[in-house]
Amino acid sequence: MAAKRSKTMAVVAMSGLLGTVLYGCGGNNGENGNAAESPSGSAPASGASASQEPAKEEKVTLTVSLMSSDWIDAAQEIMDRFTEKYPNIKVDFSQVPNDTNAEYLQPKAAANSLPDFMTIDGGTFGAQLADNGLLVDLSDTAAANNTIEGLKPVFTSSTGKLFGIAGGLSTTLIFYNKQLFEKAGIAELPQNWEQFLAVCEKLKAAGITPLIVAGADGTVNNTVWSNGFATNVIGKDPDAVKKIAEGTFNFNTPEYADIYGKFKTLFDKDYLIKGVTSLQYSQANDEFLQGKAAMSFSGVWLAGTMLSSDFGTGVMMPPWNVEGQERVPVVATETGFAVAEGKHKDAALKLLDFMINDEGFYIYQNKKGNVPMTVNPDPAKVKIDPLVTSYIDDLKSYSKTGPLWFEFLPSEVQATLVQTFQRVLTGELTPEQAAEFTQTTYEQAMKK
Amino acid sequence: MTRWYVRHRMTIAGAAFVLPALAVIALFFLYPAIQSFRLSVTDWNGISPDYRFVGLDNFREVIEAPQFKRMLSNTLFLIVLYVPVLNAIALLLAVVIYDVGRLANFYKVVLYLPNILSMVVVGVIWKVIYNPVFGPLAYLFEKLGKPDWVQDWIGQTATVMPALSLSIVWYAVGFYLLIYLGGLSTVPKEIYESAEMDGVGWRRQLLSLTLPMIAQSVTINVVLSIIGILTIFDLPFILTGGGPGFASQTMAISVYIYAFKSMQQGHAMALAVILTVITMIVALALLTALRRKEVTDE
Repeated sequence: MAAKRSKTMAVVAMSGLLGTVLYGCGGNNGENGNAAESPSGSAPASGASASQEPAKEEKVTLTVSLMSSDWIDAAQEIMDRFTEKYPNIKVDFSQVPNDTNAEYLQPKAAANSLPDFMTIDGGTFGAQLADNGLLVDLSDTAAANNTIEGLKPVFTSSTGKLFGIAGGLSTTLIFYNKQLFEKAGIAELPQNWEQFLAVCEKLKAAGITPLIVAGADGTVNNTVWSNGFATNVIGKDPDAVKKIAEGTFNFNTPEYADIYGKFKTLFDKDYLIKGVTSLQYSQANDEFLQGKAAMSFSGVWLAGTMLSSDFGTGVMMPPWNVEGQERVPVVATETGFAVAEGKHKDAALKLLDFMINDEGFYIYQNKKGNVPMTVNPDPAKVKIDPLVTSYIDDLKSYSKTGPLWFEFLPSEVQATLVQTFQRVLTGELTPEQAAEFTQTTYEQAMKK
Repeated sequence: MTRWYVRHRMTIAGAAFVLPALAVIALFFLYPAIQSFRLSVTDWNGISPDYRFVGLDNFREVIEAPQFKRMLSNTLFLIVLYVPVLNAIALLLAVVIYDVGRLANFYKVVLYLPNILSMVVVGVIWKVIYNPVFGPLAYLFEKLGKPDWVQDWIGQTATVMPALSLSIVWYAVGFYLLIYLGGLSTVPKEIYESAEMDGVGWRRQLLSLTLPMIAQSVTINVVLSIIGILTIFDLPFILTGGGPGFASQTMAISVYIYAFKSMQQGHAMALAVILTVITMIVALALLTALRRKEVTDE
């Protein structure tokens, strides 16, 4: 028990350390990364004082939208506990399907009717909402004070507004089915691309589908693209993210084309599950948990679900580096939480405080089993699988890390990535043509 | 004043009755349409209150985009394949059900049932059916000893459009069937009786009597199904998302992607305007052509 507790303490401390790495690796939308120095106009701190004054306030109904398909029960429990604590606040809670958060929020933003409290990703979309005065600047809130500094830059707009609090520290990984690995006689985890292909071949020879990747939604960008970009591009040019923001980056290179090329290789060799081009996130997760394939390329955000399998799940770092190439892991932010400007701002800030500094955080974290975003979580209440702890610990040894795609790519490029992967898999484009297409899309986006 | 009122009171009363409907149309259709056209010549991103006039750049860029040709060919595919197939199936089923007697209502309910489902639900159902790993179709082929027949129906360029068409036909056939049944109920029975006395066969009756007599229903169904297919969004969006790549992308899906994924509202509106113009031209041309063929009372 004591050992488990100390491991949890270690991962909590690690998340702080990695946060610092992340802070350095870029993905910032603006130059002002220090939230503490952001200009005024921020919301009043909700903090401890809010939690001490639950009653005698006018009744409000908070609209809440959460992209919580993999923690839906926990989300509902959080809302129930919150309304128990604040009986004057009623919650009208909607769940947003995975990968559709920006699409859900954008028309609401245009009509100035954003939910009072919502999930939001770091990156350009949230920054635009903040810069148009639609999201509360959270810089001076207790939630922000309790958030690891390194997780703030991607949630900071170009004008210095902290528009969201990250839902955790995020990294990609491959979950593998220990039973199927054993059945195929695989004893050692692959350390590079060549070894990974050999493992896939061994699995295939044993009649086991090697890998699941959801190829019909943003999951493929979270995993194949982000890992490929980190290894192939950031590994060679650590300033790539900055160059993309400045409009000086060139996607039309062999290194970038190789991101598509690797996925095509897996597809052509029949290492991917049947139906990969039309496979979506939730189906992919179900298929892995049903033992339909030996590995699932996903992220730490799914640790709570994937590690609770009956067959025993292991985790490995995606070996996307060819032999001799530096390994660059993805270290980024999880989808976070934001508060809309409006008459229910104070009540929504109380919910934010409940989610980050109070009971809500532990319900959320325990379900997800992810790496906390908070500075000082109670180690006795945080639930992290030792596998995740050791995985996160390993990340310390890497000098370079890469961000997730949505944290820095222009929205026009973001919108075309999944289709581009599909066009490569179906043979409509070669990886080189795909790289050229991405470059054209990027140039058009930057022209504006 | 009084004399003026007396002279125009019918006009005034008519206008008063029509006014609420006109107000609703103006508010919810005309105004958004005008706004869409206005925004189609701007670079609005959907959030910012600021935007610039960009002339016809959005139209040019939308037309030059690689998916535009694909969208047109997809739409053409659906019009050429889906509209005739859907109408033929709906008409044949209507004729059979019309003659079936006692169980007619049961069949009508069964065939109309998919239509009461949301298109989103229908999309999810067919997504499961087509799933090559755990879908019932894959299971069926495995059980039949034909595992090679298991395909990623909605993940392959060659099969996605027929697979999509099948799901749309399954969803829509009940609706068109009811319109054909309505048309059939207006055809006098005596015509068939005298045709039978003259020894006219079933097929000849269908082609030479039924079809001309229900030409108005054919017109309605053809026009509605073409408008429906030109503007279809929910089902393909849920089922295929327009993929793989652009292989099943319809114009409406592309409008959505421009608007809400790539934050290019100007492009989305430009494409919406193009879609509106195409739909109007096709619908008017069809209406004109089919009206000429209708049997009238005159």
